[in-house]
Formats: sequence, C-alpha cells, structure tokens
Amino acid sequence: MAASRTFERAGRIPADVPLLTAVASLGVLGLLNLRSAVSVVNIEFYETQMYWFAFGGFVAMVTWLADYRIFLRHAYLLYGGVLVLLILVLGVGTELNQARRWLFLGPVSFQPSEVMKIALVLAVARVFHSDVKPDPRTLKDFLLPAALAAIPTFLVIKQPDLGTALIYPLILLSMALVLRVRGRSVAVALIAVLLLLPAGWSYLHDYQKERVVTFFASLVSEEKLDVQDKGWHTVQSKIAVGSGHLFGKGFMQGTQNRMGFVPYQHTDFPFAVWAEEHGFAGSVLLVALYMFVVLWAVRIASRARDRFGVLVAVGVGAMIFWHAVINIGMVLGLLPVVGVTLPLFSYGGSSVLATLIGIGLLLSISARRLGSAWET
Amino acid sequence: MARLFGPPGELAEFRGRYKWLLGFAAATFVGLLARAAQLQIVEGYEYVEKSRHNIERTREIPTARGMILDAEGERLAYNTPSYAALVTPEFFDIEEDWDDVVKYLGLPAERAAKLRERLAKLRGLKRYQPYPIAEDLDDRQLALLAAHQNELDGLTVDEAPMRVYPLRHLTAHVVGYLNEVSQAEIDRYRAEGYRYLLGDRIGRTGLEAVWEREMRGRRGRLTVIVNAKGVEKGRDPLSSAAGRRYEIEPVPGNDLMLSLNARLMRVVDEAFRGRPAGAAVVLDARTGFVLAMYSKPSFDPNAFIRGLTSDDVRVLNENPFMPQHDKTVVDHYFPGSLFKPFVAFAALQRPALLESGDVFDPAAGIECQGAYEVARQRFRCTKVHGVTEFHKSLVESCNVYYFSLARRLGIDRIAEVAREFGFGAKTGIGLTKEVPGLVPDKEWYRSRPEYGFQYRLGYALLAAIGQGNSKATVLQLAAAYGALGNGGYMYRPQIVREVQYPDGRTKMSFAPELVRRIDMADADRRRIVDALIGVLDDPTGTAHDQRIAGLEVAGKTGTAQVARRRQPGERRRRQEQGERYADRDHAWFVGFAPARDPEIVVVVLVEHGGAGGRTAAPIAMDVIRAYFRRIAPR
Repeated sequence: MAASRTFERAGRIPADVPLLTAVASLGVLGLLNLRSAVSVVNIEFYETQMYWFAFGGFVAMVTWLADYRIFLRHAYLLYGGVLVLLILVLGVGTELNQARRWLFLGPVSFQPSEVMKIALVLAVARVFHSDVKPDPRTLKDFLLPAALAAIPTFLVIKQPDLGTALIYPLILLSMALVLRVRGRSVAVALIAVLLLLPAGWSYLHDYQKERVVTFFASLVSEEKLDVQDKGWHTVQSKIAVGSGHLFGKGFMQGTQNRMGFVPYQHTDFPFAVWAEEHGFAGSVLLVALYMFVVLWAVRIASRARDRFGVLVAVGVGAMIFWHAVINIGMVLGLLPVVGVTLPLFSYGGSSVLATLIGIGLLLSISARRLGSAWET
Repeated sequence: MARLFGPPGELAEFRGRYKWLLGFAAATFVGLLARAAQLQIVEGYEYVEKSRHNIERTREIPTARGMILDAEGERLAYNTPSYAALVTPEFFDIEEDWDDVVKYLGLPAERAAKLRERLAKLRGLKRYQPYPIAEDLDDRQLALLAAHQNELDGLTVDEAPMRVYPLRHLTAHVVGYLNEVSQAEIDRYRAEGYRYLLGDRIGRTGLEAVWEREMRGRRGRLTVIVNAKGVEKGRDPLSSAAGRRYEIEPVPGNDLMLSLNARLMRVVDEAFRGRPAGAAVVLDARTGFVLAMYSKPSFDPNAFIRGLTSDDVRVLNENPFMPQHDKTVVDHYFPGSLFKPFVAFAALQRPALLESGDVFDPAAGIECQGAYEVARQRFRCTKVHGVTEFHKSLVESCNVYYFSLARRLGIDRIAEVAREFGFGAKTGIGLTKEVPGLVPDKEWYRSRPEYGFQYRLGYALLAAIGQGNSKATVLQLAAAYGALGNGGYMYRPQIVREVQYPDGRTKMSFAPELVRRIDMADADRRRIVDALIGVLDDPTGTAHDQRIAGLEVAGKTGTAQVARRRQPGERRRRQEQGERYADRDHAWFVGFAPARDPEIVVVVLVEHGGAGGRTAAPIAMDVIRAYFRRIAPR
C-alpha cells in the first residue's frame, strides 16, 4: 500500500452515522453524569475529563480517517511499546489508593493498562489475520495470542488492578469466538482454566480475596457489613439504583450520590449515579446505548473488508461489552466490586482515550467495509 | 441493500459465528436490564425508603429541666444556657482526631483517657448517637472547635442547658444533683415510657432524683439531613422542605416549689460556724412542712455536674465526716435525753396502766443519788439531783427518774408511745434515702442472737434515756416534737409544696398530711411543755443561759453517746489530756416556739459537740431568734 493511500482522497467521508450518534450520546450523557458525580468529589475532574474527551475525539478522528491497516503493519510494535510502559509503571509509577497504576507525565496522568487493551486487540488480530486456516483451530494456534494476553494480565494484577487484568483474557476469549475451534480443544481449555483457578486465587492480594469473599457473603446476608467493607459499597450502590425507581430523583438530585453514600461515584460507580438520578428509564436508555454499540461493532465486523478488520471490530466490541457488563453488573450487585471503568462514563483519561481509539477503529473499519466508497 | 449481517467471499471462516456473538451480548444486556428492573421497579419503594433512611437523622432537642425554688421563690436549682461538645463515634476518627479534640478542649489527661475508652466501647446504634465529651464550653474552647470544625468529622457542638445550684453546699443534700444516666436506668425508664440517651443526666440524689419524672421534661426530636459522614446538610433534597422541621416539640420540665427557706438555711449555716459537723431540721409545727434541713459538712453539687476527678472523689470519700451523708435522714443517732419527754408522756397518758401495777403521780418525787441499780448493775445519772418529781426531771434531765419510770412502764409501753410519735419508721419525707431508726422492745431483744435471745430490764432503762439500742434521725425528732408541741397532731414531714407547669400554673399542690392524731390530753401537754419551758426559763434548767427575752421557747437538751471502747485508765487520761474530739459525745437540742402554740420546731445535732446545752442549744436558739425576727416577724 502506498503512503498516499493512507489518508483517503477528498470528498464525502463515509461516516457510520448510527455508531457516531450512539457514541456521541454516550459521551454527552457520560459527561453530564460525571458533572453530577464529581460535584461532591472535585469539580475540577469534570473539566479534566472534557480535555480528555477532546483529545480522545481527535485521536479517534485520525484513526477513523487513517487506513486501519496501518495498525496491521505496526501492531506488534505498538504492543511492545505499551508493554514497556506497563513495565515502567511497576517500577516508577505513582501510587494512589495503594495501587501503582499511573504514569505521570508532567501534569497529565496516564494508565498504560487501559491503552494496552487496544494494543492487545490489534496484536491478536494481527496474529490471526496472517494465520489463515481452512480447518478448525487447535490449542497450538492460540499459544502466541494467549501469551500476548497473559503478559499484561500478570503485570496488571501486580499493580494491583484485578478488574483491568480480567479484561485482557476476556477480550482474547471473545475474539476466539469468531474463529472456528476444534471441540476437543475447547474442552481441554476449559479444564485447564478450572485447574488454574486455585493457583490464580493464591496469586491474588489479600484485599482482593476479601472483596470476592465479601461479595459472596453479601449475597447471603447484608446484615454484618459496616462502612469499611466492600460489601457496604455494593449495598449503598444498590440502594442508589433502586431508589431511582422509575424516573429517578433528577439530575444532581441523587441523595446517595450527593450525600456521599455511593463510593467512588465518579470512577467505579457512575452507573449508580445515573440510575439513581434517572431511574429505570435512564437505565434502559444507557444499557440500550451500550448494547447498540456492541451489536453494531459485530455488524461492522461482519461486513469488514478483511480478516484484520473483522477481528479488530470484534475485539473492540468485546472490550466495550466486558467493561459495560462488569461495571454495571457490579453496581447492580451481581458481581464483586472490581475496578472496571464504565466506558465514557467513568472519570479517567486513559479509559476515555482507549474507548475513543476503539471507536475510531470501528469507524475506520466501517468506512472501508465491502462495497463502500473507500474500499480499496 | 446488503444483508445486515454476514460477509461474502473470502471471510467465510467467520460466517455463522456472528449470530452467537450477537445473541450472547444481547442476552447479557437484557439480563442486566432485568436486574435493574428488579431493583428499580419491583423493589423500588424499598430502596427509596432505604435511601431516605440514609440521609435522615433524628436529632434530639434538649429540653429545659424544671427549676427548684424555695418558699420565697429563690432558685435552688436552675439551668443556664451552655454549649457541649459531642462526638458521634461512627463518624469520628478516634485514632486520628482524638488528641486534637483533647487539646482544643483542654481536657485533663485522666478524663480524656476515660472518655476515649468509653467511646471506643460503644457499639451498634449507639455509635450513631452523639455522645457528650465536654460541657459548659467557654469562649476559647468554642472558638477552637469552630476553627477546626472542618477537620473534625463526627464532632458537633450543641446547646445543652447546664444545671446550676446557686446555694452550692447549703442545699446539696436536699436538692441533690444530677449525673450521667446508666444503661440499666435507660432500660428501666424506657419501660415507663421515658426516653434517655447515653450521656444524659438524671437526678441522682435528693429531690432531683425523687422528682425526676416531673422535672425532666420531654426532649424534642427533629429530622435533619446528613451526609454519609453524619455532617448535617441544610436542605432536604427530597421534600425540598426547609432543612429542619420539628417532629416533636420539646416540653420543658415542671418546677418544684419547696417549703424550704433559703434565708433560714443561711441562718442555720451561720449558726453552725465553728462546728465542723452536725445537722439541723426546722419544721413548721402546724403543718409538718420543712423550713430548713441542714447537714454539715456538705459538698458542692455543681462539681458533680461538671464531673468529678478521682482526686475530688478521694477527698470526698476520705473526709471522716462523710460530706455526702445527709445527717438529717441517712444517719441515725441515740436520741439521748431528747427521748425523755415521750417516756414522760407515756406515763401521763395512761397513768393507771403501768407494768408495775401502781398509778403514776407526776407530783411524786423520786430520790436521785446519782445512780440507779438494777440487778447489781449501776446506771449513772448526770449528777445527784436529790428528790425529783416530773417537772424537775425534765428541766434538769434526771436519768434516775426515767430509770424508775422505765421500770414501772416497761419497755413495750415506751416503744408503743415512741412509735406513735413516728420513731422506728421512716417519716416518708420523700428523699432518696431515709433510715427508719430503731425502737427496741422485748420482742426485738428476744429475736437478737447478740443479746442471747433474751430481754433484760436494763434495756428498758437505757431505752428510757434514749440510749441502748434506741436510734432516731434528726428529722424524726423534729416531727415528734412538732406533734408534742401542737397537741398530738403527727404530720408527715414534707418539703415540696407545689409542682408547677413552666407557665406557672399549679400542677400539684400538697396539703399538710396528718399521719395520726395522738391521744393527748391538754393538761398532759401543758405539763410537759411547762417543763420544757423550764429547761430554758428555770434557773436550774439545762439550757437556762440560752433563753430569749420576750419569746417563750420550749426546749430540751440531750447528749448522745458516741460508740467507743472504754479503756483502762481512760478517765484519768481524759482529765489530764482533755477528750479527743472523735470520742466526744454528740450534742442535741430541740426547741419549739412559741412554746404554747408552736409555729416552728428546731432540732440541732452537733456531732461531737459534748453537752447539748452548751453547743447545740445556742445554734437552735439563734435559728429560732432569727426566724421570729427576720424570716417571719410577728
């Protein structure tokens, strides 16, 4: 491919209007919700988040207009670069809330683990793009992708950030779902995972184990939880959601949020704020938007021009899917409290950036789909 | 139009996979929505309630405790506005902030340590109730707390009326004091429908304790909006109502109007100057209402309100005169010679019913040679009185006359009359503690192992002069003499005249309460009163030098032996070195005036005062004189 083709010729840009609309809606609602969530935390976060949206939007635009096959070429390089940052975090990262997740570059803080998700999607897509096979795949075909996912997983658990670490294997698994795999290999993989679970448990930090335990305990009884327990967060989060009732308490009117009962309302629990202030109607709207984006990503995959496009679209869709599902599931008390962001709703620049780059990739794949003007 | 899903051509490997992805994703999202529907619709109301409950905190509004006023409206106990610092344990970081709070409040280390321990022990719901850690904050403390308010979560400053006892030591025993309510009391009162919270003060002694239910008032309650840290926020975001709304208005407590006269109390206190220990009671002889009730030494009840240090407690407890004892009702003493008029009355009342079978004749004389012998035991008199008849026996307080009378009356008859005059039973004045005293009779001795279950005649002799096992309180003697002076009307001593609502309306009013009418012939009364007048007016009377010109007072002196072990050679030692203070007898004096139609009756006990005529009588006469000149001039 010639360099001149990287940026397409002028004229009408093929825009995926439904996706743009949905993402723009999520962005606007997410910012508004953050305005309410940070009103009692630190109002400056709202401004910071807007800058990240602007920056992320710009990067997404470039990604959209650029031919995504640039990433095919540089996927491993990108992966390697982010991996270096991730290792750097463990060494010289800044510690906040007893976790070493951030790199500070002057006034800007950055979480390499978030961008790693995109890098992983691209790297895994690259592996399978060039590995064309007529027959169902065996475990051997997954050795390299598994290694690509495992390295950041272990690094991130070390930070520790259990939630983010979980996302990497889930993304890989989701991408594997579009490939045809031999039944026997699936069975062997399942057994291996089950055997590895106890080993993984011992790898966890005490507080992580405690969280998982409190979660299961809280399913049985909420009586003995006190303010310090993670289970108490879930209880308060459920109260926030439930008390939103049908139409919510109104923007900036959520008492659970404003009076400080919902913990980490701007990072881990923005959905609780949203559901409290906008009720079930709001929940339906928001869940529908996420569902639309995810399903639309699959649609974009299904119409992609090449194998790389398919895999990247599925990977990005999976990333958004797992983030939304784990985060909302946690807020609704269905899953233990793990720090997974809600795309475009949670405060955090790296998360916004990663999500918007993903959206940019989707737009780019969509723009170059089969039969489109930019299909080359 | 192209098919919605599914690519053509070379991407056939993925064909058929998308529908699984779509199905899985859609199903998961729908599952989330189902859960949201469960929380927000099915259980929605429940959670609305829970979220309300989170931000609503019921705040207790303190009420004003009723005042205690003396007969002339002088305040004996009232409240003054003050501020208290409270800590809500659940929201207070005791590790981080406690030392700062102690510093700002200037709490003594000992008290701070005790408080910290107590706060740390609170569990459950009590962790959400503000607990007072310092009261009566001064301007400096208030300023420091205000300046650091934002750093100290869970610390609040609240109005808390402070109890003040302006007469301090003078009324400490009668009025009593408040201190912190115990968990047991909280539970007990809850059963009665009264609410107390930990850290509340409750009447602990005296009238404060007895009239707790009337004076406490009822706390108000109001709902405020708080954040997760328990800090009050102005507005109620749900109802948009004003931030505060009273749910229950506080009801102030009722006031107590006493018969006690503060001016008279000061007179008594003044008269007691120079005497380290003793007690006095002044009653209205016509009604039984208490005009003065005095016990020395005393303590400052205000110190109890502020909280005693262990040093204070030690000083109080180690004082040999026991300042916390109300010597008018909590201690009983040998009535000594003060008991003689009742024995005399027993003889007069039923002269023909003597145990000895003869008839009592007050004019008949008995030879006193300084002692009386029964069963080879000598019972001493104060001196050799010579021939003594009824009048002289009281005027000069001759023991031998009463030994003889006791022998003829028998102990049971003496006890019977004593009980009629209220001895041996609590008067029912209505203070926290009262002892009944003791009136021994044959039955009593026969039931006591220490007396070998045996009654002896000697016991009757001792009873007749108020020794042996006879015990009476100062108050009992005052009530009994009141009845003796007024012709047999035995009133229950009372101290509360009225209970008033805070607006001044009367809630309860107490009339004189006649316990019994003693069958007393006027001639008999006159005979006894004449003799008691003689105590002061006759040149030989035991208190002759104390008489008041222009006022006829009936009186009686007495000496109550102090229990002690006589040691060999003691008499000589006492002559040489003088008597040790603690071994000295207690001095008694009772007086009522005007003698023929008494208005007041005064009983004075001077602990270790020696002879009653010398130490107790001047005090009583000072009081009587002041009463008729200053308190109720005629």
